[in-house]
Amino acid sequence: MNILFSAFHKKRSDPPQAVANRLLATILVALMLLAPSSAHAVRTGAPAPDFTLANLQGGKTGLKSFHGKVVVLNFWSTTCAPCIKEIPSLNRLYNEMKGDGLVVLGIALDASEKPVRETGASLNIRYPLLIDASKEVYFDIYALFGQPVSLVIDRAGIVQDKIFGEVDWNSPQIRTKLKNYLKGR
Amino acid sequence: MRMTVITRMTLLASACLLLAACSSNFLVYKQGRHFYVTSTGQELKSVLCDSGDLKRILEESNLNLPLQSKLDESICGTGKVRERVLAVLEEMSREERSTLKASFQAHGYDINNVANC
Repeated sequence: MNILFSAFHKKRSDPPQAVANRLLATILVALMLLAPSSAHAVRTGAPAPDFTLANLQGGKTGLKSFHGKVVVLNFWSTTCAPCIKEIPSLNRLYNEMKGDGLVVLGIALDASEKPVRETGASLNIRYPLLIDASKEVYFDIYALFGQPVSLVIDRAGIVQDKIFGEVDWNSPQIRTKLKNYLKGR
Repeated sequence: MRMTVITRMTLLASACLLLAACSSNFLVYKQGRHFYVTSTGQELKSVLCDSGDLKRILEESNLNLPLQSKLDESICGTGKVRERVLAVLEEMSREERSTLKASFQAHGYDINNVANC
């Protein structure tokens, strides 16, 4: 707490720039402290909980089997328009970076496989599609809300980013970020 | 110097707005209609709270009483705050969320089916 108080305590010798920097640091710390705690939910900076889900090939896929790779978990459903809209860019990103160690798992929250299979075929989705019809991973384990929502997990299995809503997966910011994770930075 | 500080403050405010613009939310559905559980609107209150549905959902979930009370207060209480509702759900254990979800479903509600941002 001393950091908070000392930030506002201006010393006579402090240049305005130093005061401004301390003020900004204080605002950032305060924002972090005000953020809701999530002792049991998945959170950035913490290990991604393991799970196993059915895939469209009739088998099972577990997160643990991708340890050492950079993994994007994309939670979506066929009735969610923004989810469908972002899939082509995610598909392109996967095709381009899979050789460097990028894994994308599309986790569909639909109640049945049929629409997922049809959408996967019509959009030519190349990454594995898993089914979480009971929302066990999405809600029970990860405590996520809203769709689409994506998690980026680094090579050490740590959740680095939680991305809410539709994004352009080929934007320079996201590409740079993923390339850095792939390089182990 | 002043411009630098103002620029930094503007960037920080923009970042905060960006984060708030498309955030997560918790929705429930009943008979094909969806409701934000964090909503303070009359419709959600009428369907989930005034009808007694949430009380029944919580009672039959067999979640511990303090947690039931916390959920009831955060969802149906006055002075509702969106972040508080989500924080209570996030603080729950995997088993508790599973139990709560099952109890919602047993009462004809489904959760988070479509996009909300």
